[in-house]
Amino acid sequence: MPLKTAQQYEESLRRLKLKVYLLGERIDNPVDHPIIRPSMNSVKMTYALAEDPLHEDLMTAKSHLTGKKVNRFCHLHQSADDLIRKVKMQRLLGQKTGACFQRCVGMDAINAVDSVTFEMDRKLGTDYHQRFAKFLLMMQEEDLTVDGAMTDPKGDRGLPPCRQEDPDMYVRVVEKQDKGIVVRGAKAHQTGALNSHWVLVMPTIAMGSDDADYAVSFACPADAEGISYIYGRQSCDTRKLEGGTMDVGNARFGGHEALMVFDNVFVPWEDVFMCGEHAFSGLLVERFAGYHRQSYGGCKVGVGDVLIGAAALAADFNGAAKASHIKDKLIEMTHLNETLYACGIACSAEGSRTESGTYLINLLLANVCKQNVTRFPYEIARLAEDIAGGIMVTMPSERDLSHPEIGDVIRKYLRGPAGISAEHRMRIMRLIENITLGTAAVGYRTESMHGAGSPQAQRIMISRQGNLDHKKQLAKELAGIA
Amino acid sequence: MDPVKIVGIKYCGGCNPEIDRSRVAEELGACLPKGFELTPTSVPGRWDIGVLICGCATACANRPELMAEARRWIIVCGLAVDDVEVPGDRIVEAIVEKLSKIALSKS
Repeated sequence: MPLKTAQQYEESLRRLKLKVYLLGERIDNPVDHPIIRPSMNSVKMTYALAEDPLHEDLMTAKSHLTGKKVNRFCHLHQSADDLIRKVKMQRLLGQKTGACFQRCVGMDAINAVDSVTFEMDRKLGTDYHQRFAKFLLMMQEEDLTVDGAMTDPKGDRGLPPCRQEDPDMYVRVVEKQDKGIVVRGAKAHQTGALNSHWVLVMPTIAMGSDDADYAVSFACPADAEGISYIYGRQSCDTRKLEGGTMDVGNARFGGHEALMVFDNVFVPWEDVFMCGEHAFSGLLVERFAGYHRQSYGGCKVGVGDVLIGAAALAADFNGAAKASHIKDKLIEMTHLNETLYACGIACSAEGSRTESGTYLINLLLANVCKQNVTRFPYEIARLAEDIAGGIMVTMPSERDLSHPEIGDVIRKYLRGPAGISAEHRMRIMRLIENITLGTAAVGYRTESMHGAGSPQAQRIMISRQGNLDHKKQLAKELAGIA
Repeated sequence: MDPVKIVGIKYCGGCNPEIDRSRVAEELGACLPKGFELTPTSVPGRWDIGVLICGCATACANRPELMAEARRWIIVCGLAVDDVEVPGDRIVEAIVEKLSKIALSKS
């Protein structure tokens, strides 16, 4: 059965020879590094829940390639129901981790590359889809975590790739050899890169013929010769080095991003899925972005569930739960969160079949979903901070609480209503702090803004997909305009 | 003597459960009527009776391919058993009642 256990996943990561830099140091053992490990735990949860009878119905699917049970993160959506289950699975994982669980990008990448390579082959006579199918089979059989790598550093955003002062601002083919290609460049914001076995690279924008060398998609092992990773800082990240469990807010789970550098990396032809077919780069970007905009209608909702629960507990622990304005704020948070979920479900339910058989979300609704995600988590976070109160950011540290002299003072003055200890009150405040302005805020706030494309990218797609002519015709008919 | 009937339990994925699904299963295991045996596997197949425990009314795990994996199903959808609303603390009782009726109808 091609399902790794959670422990097998962790062991498989230990065998990777990743070249990682964090806080100015080379890291030999990323798996056990206190800053990195919580993010590994989040990905590990995608394996653990697939083994759990209470969750396997969402976490697994039947492979269209082999008929075997595979992790849904390795699955190509075969129906609108599959698309819906994907969103539900993401909500579940957001609830279980309270963080970004990182494995979605690869899932969204394989679904996009599948249909685009199929259509490319049909039009151009290439054999990319066959190559990709072999890669997908390996991914499913070995239950791999794959990092979907799209975003290039971009340099001067007013210039196309080929006119950049430094030609490496977008990943490009620097050499074509008999057995493969050599690529150079970098991918920014790589979610879960250090917790991935393989990398699936895609171009980041629609390209013209002058940019053909940049129209490249390929897969390679995460520890391929020439790849290095520079770990991204997160707000409050060094609290993880203090050794406690309270001040970090969420001691077990987290997410991460890294700058991934390709320094003349060789990729054999069998793992190349686009090489110069610039006319298809835009389609690949559009489909990947569409899937990833759908994803946020699940994962952010799950984290939102945690934040709403934490805010409600904070109200209980503050003795304010019965206040009508608190109740109303919790209702508003729920309304916003479920609106995001409704968008994720809607764009899935209205999904349609592509030529390859893989289902694609309704792109208009997926973009509407993500546009809402650029706003609502901010409001949910604001309301959570409102309910929590200023103590969330002014209270003493965990070390103070365990101090022999001042610990009792803190327990005396920070206790809540009868039966609510200062420690429990502080723990829930720290969890809210973690999601709204600590390490998890990277995923819940700024990633909600810019991940899967910044707000303007969705507005462009909404403009294209909005069917305005049909709306004008409706108005004309009712207004009596011939 | 009638052969023991195998009862299997299948869960939905649990993305937004209104009930504690594992507790329902545990309590059912503790008060299963005579003549029924709970199988430990969650992989459906050759079950006499399947109990599908879904966390909410959507019951997204209720799919035709799953229904083919047992001769009869009792479906819990949040606070309902076979579409009839039941208080949370009476879900197991309602399942047991249904199992007892099945036993009687066969004897």
